[in-house]
Amino acid sequence: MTARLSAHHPPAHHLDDALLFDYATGALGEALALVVASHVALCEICRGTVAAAEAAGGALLAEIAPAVLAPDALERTLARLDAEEAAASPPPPGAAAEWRLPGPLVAYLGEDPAALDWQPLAAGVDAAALHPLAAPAWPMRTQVLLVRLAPGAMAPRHTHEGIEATVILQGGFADQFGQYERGDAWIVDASVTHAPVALPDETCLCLAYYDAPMKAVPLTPIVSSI
Amino acid sequence: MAALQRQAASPPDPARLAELIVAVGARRDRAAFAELFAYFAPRIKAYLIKRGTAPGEAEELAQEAMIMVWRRAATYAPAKAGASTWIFTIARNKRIDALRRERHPEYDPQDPAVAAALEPAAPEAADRAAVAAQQAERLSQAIAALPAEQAELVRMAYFEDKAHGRIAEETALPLGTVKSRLRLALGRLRKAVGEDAL
Repeated sequence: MTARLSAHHPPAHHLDDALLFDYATGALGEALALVVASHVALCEICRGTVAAAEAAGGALLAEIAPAVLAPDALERTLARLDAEEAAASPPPPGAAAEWRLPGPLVAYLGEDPAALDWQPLAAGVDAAALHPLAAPAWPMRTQVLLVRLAPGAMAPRHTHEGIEATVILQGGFADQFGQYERGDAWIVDASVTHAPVALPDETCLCLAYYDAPMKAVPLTPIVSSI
Repeated sequence: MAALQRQAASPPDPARLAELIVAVGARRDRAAFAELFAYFAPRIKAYLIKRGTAPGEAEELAQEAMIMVWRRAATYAPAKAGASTWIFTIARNKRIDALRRERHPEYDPQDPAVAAALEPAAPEAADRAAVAAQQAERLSQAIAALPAEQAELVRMAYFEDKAHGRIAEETALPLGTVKSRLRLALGRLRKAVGEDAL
């Protein structure tokens, strides 16, 4: 693992500006925003785009005509501060830090990602669903999975009814469109069927969002039974 | 109260606002908090009302957002974001939390999981406030200078809770047109903020 880390390069596959903009304005649902935030945490370029969009929000907030507050608004707020404890400290880095997961994700996984409910998907491939952990629940058909592929393992060939948004958290994989490594993110729609294969020398961990369940697409047998 | 109102009438400069947040974070400075409150709370309330929150609830949420400012002030990094930008993200998240009962997953510009080699060298602390102030000024000018067709879509996106798809439906513009106009606007704003600072 360390050998690859030293060779790490900035992400080469980025999310669409429109999606980053919707993240910054607050228009995205939580599940997709989680994937966007995980990519943004690992990608300096997209962090710049989001920072610019958030700065635009800041400039618009500064320009807005102020509303009139209740006369006792400040007093009431100060009184509530009296009841405040000292600022909550960030969660201590536990096992999650060893996975080098981006911060936005750590909040959902708790201390130890290995303790999640990992279910086998195929040989060398397993997945842990995050959507059942969401409170309050995400929209019905939304799925968010952490998917783990052993070095060289192939994910089940699949397509989707809706979109799939993925960000690589560790290692990498390749499909017919190219090679993806830590920080890379992309979105595919229902027109795409793929069976990603993990790169040979490291476990691949990725976060995948589906707005509708994925569908397995078995390969047509090469030797047909004619 | 009169003093506070005068202050709100002539906007404090962005570097001053950043210093106030730092003072709240470092020293739990209530006078600094009161000054921040006078400037931002009425704007947060206005932002929430523009986005469809009833005035009574907007009042409550604006106060809660300012309490978040108090709690989070120690995490504010003036080199990473201007005061208005940072408070915009708090107001945005408070609104999502209250109205959709959802969290807004946040990235941390200093995420320890991110390789340090990818971080640009931070400018000297003394320069940061000045840089942030200049950026805020340039950004305001850039927003004012946006072509009307882009400015309208930008305001819809920030103040009317509309993703690209819904803006396209309501304006009867093709989605591609909405995307390209917002992309152009974002490009201009990004240039105004300055690539070097990002």
